[in-house]
Amino acid sequence: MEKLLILSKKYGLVPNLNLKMKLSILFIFITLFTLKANDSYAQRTKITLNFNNISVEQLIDIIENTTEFQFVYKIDDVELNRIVSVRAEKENINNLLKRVFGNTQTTFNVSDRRIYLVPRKENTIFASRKSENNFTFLQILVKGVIKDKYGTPLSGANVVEKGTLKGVTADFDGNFEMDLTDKNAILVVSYIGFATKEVSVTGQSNLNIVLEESAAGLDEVVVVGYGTQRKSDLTGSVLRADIKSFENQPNVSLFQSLQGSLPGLNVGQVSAAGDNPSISVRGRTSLSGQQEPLIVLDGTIYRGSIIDINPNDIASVDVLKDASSTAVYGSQAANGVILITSKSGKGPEKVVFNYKSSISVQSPVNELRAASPQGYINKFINGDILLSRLAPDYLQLNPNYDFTNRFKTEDMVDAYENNNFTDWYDLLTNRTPLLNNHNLSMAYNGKSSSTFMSIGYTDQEGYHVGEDYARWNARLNIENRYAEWLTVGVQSFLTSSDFSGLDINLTNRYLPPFATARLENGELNPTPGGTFINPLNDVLNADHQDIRLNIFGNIYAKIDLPFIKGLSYKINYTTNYQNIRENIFKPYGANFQGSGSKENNYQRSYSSDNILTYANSFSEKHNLDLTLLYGFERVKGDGTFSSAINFADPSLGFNGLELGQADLQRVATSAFEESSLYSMARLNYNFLRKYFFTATIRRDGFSGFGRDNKFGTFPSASMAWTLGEENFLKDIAFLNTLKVRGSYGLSGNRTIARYQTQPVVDGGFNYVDSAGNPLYGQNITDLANRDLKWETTAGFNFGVDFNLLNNKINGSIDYYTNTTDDLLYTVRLPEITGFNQLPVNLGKLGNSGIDISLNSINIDTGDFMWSTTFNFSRNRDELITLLGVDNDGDGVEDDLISDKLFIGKQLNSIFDLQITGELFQLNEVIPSGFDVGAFKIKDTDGVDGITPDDRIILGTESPDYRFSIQNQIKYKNWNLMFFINSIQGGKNMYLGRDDLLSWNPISTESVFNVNIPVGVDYWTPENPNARYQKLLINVADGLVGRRYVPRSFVRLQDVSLGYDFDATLINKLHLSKLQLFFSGKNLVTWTKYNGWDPEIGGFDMQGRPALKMYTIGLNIGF
Amino acid sequence: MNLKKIGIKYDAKNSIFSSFILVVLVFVSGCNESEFLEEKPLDFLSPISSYTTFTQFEASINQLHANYRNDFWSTDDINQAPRTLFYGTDLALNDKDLGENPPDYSALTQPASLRILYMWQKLYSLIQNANVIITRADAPSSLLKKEERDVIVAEALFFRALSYKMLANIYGDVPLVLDEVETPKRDYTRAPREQVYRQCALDLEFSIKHLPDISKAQNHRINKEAANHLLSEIYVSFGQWDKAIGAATSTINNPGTSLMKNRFGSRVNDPNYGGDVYWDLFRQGNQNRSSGNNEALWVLQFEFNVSGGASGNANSSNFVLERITLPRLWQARIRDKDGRVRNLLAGGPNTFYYGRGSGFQSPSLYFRTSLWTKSGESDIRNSKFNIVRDFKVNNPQSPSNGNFVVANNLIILNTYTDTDRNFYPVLAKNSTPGLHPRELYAVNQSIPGSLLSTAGTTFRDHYSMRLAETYLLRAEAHLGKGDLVSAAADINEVRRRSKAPDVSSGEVNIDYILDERLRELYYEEFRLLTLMRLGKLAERTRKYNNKFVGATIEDFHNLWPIPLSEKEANTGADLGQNPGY
Repeated sequence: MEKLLILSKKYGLVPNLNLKMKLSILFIFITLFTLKANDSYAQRTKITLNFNNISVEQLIDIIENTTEFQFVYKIDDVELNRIVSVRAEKENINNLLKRVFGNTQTTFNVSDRRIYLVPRKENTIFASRKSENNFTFLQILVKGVIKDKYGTPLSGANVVEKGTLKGVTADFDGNFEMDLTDKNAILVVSYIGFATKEVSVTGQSNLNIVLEESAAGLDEVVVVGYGTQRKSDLTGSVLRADIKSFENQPNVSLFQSLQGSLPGLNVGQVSAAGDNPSISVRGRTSLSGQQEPLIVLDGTIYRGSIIDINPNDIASVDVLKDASSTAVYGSQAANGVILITSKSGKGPEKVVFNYKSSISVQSPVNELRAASPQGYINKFINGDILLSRLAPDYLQLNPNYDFTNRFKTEDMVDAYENNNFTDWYDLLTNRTPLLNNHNLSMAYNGKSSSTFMSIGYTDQEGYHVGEDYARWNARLNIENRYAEWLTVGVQSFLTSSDFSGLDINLTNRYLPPFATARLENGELNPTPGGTFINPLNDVLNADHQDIRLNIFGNIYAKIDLPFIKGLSYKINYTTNYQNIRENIFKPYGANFQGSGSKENNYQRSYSSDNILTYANSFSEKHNLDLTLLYGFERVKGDGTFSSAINFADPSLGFNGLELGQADLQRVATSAFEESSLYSMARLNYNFLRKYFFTATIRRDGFSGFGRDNKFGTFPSASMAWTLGEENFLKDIAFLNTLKVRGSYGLSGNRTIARYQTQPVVDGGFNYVDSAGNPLYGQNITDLANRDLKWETTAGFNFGVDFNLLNNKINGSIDYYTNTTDDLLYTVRLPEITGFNQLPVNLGKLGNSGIDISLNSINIDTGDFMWSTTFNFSRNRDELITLLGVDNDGDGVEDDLISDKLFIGKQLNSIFDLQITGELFQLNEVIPSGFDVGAFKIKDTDGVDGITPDDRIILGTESPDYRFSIQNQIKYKNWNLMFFINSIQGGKNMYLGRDDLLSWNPISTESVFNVNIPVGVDYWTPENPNARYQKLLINVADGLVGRRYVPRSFVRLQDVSLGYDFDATLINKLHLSKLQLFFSGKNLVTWTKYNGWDPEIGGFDMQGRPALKMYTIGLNIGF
Repeated sequence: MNLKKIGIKYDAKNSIFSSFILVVLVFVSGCNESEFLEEKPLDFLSPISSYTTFTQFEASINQLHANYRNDFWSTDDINQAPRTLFYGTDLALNDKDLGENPPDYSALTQPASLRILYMWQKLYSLIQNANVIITRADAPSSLLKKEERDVIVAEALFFRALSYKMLANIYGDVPLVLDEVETPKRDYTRAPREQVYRQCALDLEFSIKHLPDISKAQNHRINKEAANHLLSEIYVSFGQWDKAIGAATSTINNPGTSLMKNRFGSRVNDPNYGGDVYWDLFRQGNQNRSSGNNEALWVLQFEFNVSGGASGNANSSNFVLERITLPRLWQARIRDKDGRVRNLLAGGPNTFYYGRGSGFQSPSLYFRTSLWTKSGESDIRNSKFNIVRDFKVNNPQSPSNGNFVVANNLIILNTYTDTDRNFYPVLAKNSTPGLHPRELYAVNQSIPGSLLSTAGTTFRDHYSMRLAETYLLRAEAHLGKGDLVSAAADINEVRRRSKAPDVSSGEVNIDYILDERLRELYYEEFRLLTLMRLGKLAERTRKYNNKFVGATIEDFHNLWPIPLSEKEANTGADLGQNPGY
């Protein structure tokens, strides 16, 4: 301890922050180094001494001087003047002290290098503390086992000493061991899905604890940001995801396991290998800023990609939804916060290995395949009706019509005549792409240390060629308690992922079938159809590497401060290093003379938090929990891109860019740096665990904010009342618990990226002299707004948690409303200034909604269990005000039609002409600007004739509501889960496009350059009442009709069936677990939507299908 | 952080606590927050340090050249220059399936339309870039010496005058901004067109004093005679005939300038092409004075495959006239003798067939025919080298291979009834036959000269100002003064070089000059601007392009409207609107 003190003196006063950082690193390293030493100094140290007739005080001095032991005592408790004689030969300190204090009023307690001398009390092994200024390192060892009512051990159950932060987790057999500070301590035992129980130790050293099942989940401990909290104590809106139910799904991204499973957390569909789904919490709080929630991994803000986190390594995911919960993250919290916690080694005191492997077959749920060659030919005949058919009814083919006129090149005419066609769609997609997952983990829990290690491998083939994805993960989490008061740990992972393979341009799936991919000799046709470079080159001949590396390490130390109960300090230091290397060589590039590039981007972020917490109870009534935080973050990036074309010798590819044409070798470099600085205070208080109060305040500084707005402050307050505990409700039989919550808080959205307040001079070699030498040019490209700042969201949340019918039904309902001010919006400047826009903070946006979650245990007979979870959420947003301009003088703020922003209306509103659903027919008088086979438009403005003024708000792209139903059925060793997810739009919400415009652009013959999807119902003279317009139509700009239809769907999103083999078999095989599982994803989709996929949206040439997946897997523990 | 406040008693002797308190206090109070949060740009330059030295100011001048070239001569976008500045005049019509040739001319000039905004936006951006130079050259941070300052400001003023001239041509009255804009401003009002022209003249008078003589200036920079040429057009624009004649005369009389009357340059000896000096004027390498061309006053520099050689992508040269104005011969089909449809040209675009035209715009019927009939047969500008009207079938599969299309009455298949993208007279000046870069040759050379589809640009430099136009400007000034004899003399200087018969002074009027400009400067001048300057756009488009764009043009179309978004963004004052819109 002297060592530490010296260090503090030496470095503690150095003002420079870099040094401070170094200090925190040093601090952690020192603890790590000492950690390497064996667990007990006392065990190792052998003492040899020989003294006659010395006082106890002298003996203490001698021991302190010759060893590293320190004595701690109160003078009154020890007879210092007692004379003793001591002789020891390589003796353990315990034995020595036993002899010295054997029959005295004093007893001792050795804790590493410390020896506490305390008064002896009857019937206790160690004396307990008495006076308020005493030390608290006295320990009582308690052992116990936690089981459910059937006697099944509850591995992973949490045991916390009430009023402290001390806790352990039960091992695989439900056993735990814990040192207590008070023999009368109360243990709070909790486990997911079970009612939390408080157990009084009262001197027992072996406890048998049985937990009652509870679907309420109100009693688990959730992560709330810079700390944890019992769910039953929450005042805000915090949800823990049920990732366990989805663990048998081969989800490549962790977020896929959250899809639909929490009300208010909106997770989209993944459509390409290695992609993350879109994710948002509740409604929109920003127009142009960041919309995704803040991700916090193991307590630190995580700036990397979620796809780099192995879902198998994750223990829990908690979502902070309301402003009072998120306010602890200040200026980055307005979109909600997702807290991800990785697994630890806590468990049985032995090594446990787990191996899990699965293989999945994927296939598209729905695809828009390209039409056959005949379908392509029909496109000409039906597009060119005036030429291809005979007047007056155009039902007869014109024998003189020759669609090969329309073919772009003679090559295509040849291909047609030789019946030589190419199915591009087939060439560019994989029919049954596979997905492979392997995970091996090791968990170890020792007396004072725990370790979790894992390696994982994922290999996913893409639906489109070139979109393959492979990932290697490794994780190492170690926690070491090397003294009762000091815990040091590290949470780290390394992910290497491979995105190699050029993504194809998806429109190439619709290339004309008569543009032949291969020549007669089987070689690639360099220019199919004679005009474009063969896209198969990208698949077969490109050399593409996209290798990404992500290294994350979080080192932390927790110190339970000794002099006062409940005070502890935690410091962490996190660094995250990400590197992306992308190399491309195309031998066919630059007109077949070769093009190549090499790109290297790296980003490093590091941060450190100092967290001081104090938790205590006063007179058993007042419970207090205070958290103070101070920390910083810095993110640095750096990139280099180099390229060359026209290679003298292409054989080295991108590793020989210098062989490209000398004067066409290019280089581009980039770099950035951003910093944040923050502090936060949070107070949780409750009275009798009945009345709860939380208040937080965070002060956030960010380098990207304007000069005069460097810091924002975000306060919040919330309250809860466990109504069910009151006398007037206590006797209602069906009501087990009832709690109401209310909160209000401010949170921010940084919205502005770094450097957005800085004016920029853009320089480059932009001109040449008459000899062709490049000339350097520069100009100012932006007018910067020095005053830019964050958006502020004020949120109100009101919630009810209930537990009914003997805990058979529980749930919660939350109503919330948010108002965001200072929206980042780019206002138009007159071009006369030389610029056209300026980012400013203005306007107001509101959103409100309701989240409902219900759980019920339908049947529970021991052998057979069936439970259901139902989630529902709905949100409405509204643009309240923006520019505040009323140019048309109608007394109402003007809409911003060009940006599709309407005051008082929802964002994502669709403002367009309304089609009647009918098409103009041959025998009709067609108004100017329209064409036969074009959509008829509703005249809405009362002025005769269709103009762009007839545009109205047709609805919105936002959903009306979402719901999901999860059923869990257990029968003996079988476990079946099925999950239904749905997004509904009603009549005019959740709209998506449903027209052929992507394949059938208006007024251009380029419509013939591509194929169309097979079997689409478009207008022809024989098919006058078609769904879609005639091919090749001329419609004036601004009069083009588009169809919007609801994308509502219900999807059987996840099904999994697991079988756990019998214990007898497992034991015979010397295993601890053997499970076989089958699962399916996106198995059935009920929708009326015509496009690729209702959830992904889009009815266009670039669309992607959702993928169905069948999986078989194995899970072995040993 | 007052620990006492929250009721913690502590023992100062306790070493753990002391060390902890020190760490916390250091973090809380010891840090210099503003220093930690200071934002330092790492990979971009800041205006504060970028406008001090002569080199930096020269770089800013280079950028003005790049802006002018890139914004007005480098795209084939339907809503951007140069396409918008040829279309809707007596010169050109657009292919039907490109969404133009609307029944109503008004569709082209909607205040909300992108094409209306584009010119306004790019010109004001150029003005701001010039104003930054002009303002910062005199700022305390400037390290320029007096003579350096003058020459830099002179060139910046040239670009400002050019931009305002174009703005006034197109929109009439426009806001005059003469200083760098450093803070957002939304209360602009318009200055009368003549005041704008007068400001241009004032700026150019300074430029002329300080710009180098044409024989001393670098080819890629602005010289005194370019400024005089522009000045004479500006004086013509508001009826200052004598001053216009003075400025033009200064250019014409400069010993360093003369019309090129004899064959010269890179392809004099090419056996396959050429035959006259007008053809030579537009061959590769022949534009700059360094090639011996004394007619050029200001040449925009393009260079294939060189950084800065073109806008955006260095691996191209996007002087896109070939693509915009030449027919898609490589897509032209004939109905062959055996009844089968065949390509006129096998193997795709071909350098010997004037490259990779895309047929976006074809010459008006007036340009194809009467314009030249009026001029006389001897006019070399209508020679078979300069306007190529017939082509040989080049398709080994075809029984007609080697036959001429027009001469042999081969049937060209038209997709559309009114215009044809694939087959119309080729304007040789906009292409470089036989000399497309080797890098753009197709792999398959079974038809020699086959090109890739990326080849559609004109691989030469571009005259932004040429002495022939100076003569025609002076003729305009003489005409304005009523001196028809001098006007005819200037016109005939230009006509004689092209072996065209003289025009008599009695025949000279503004329409004759406009015809002559069309013959001499087609696709070289911005035709729309010239017609707008003279208020002749509606009249001549109606008269000479009546079947297409001219059918519905109205007199108010002689000016474009003020862009709608600009009126909306200028919230502090009303910009007004031109009549008719």
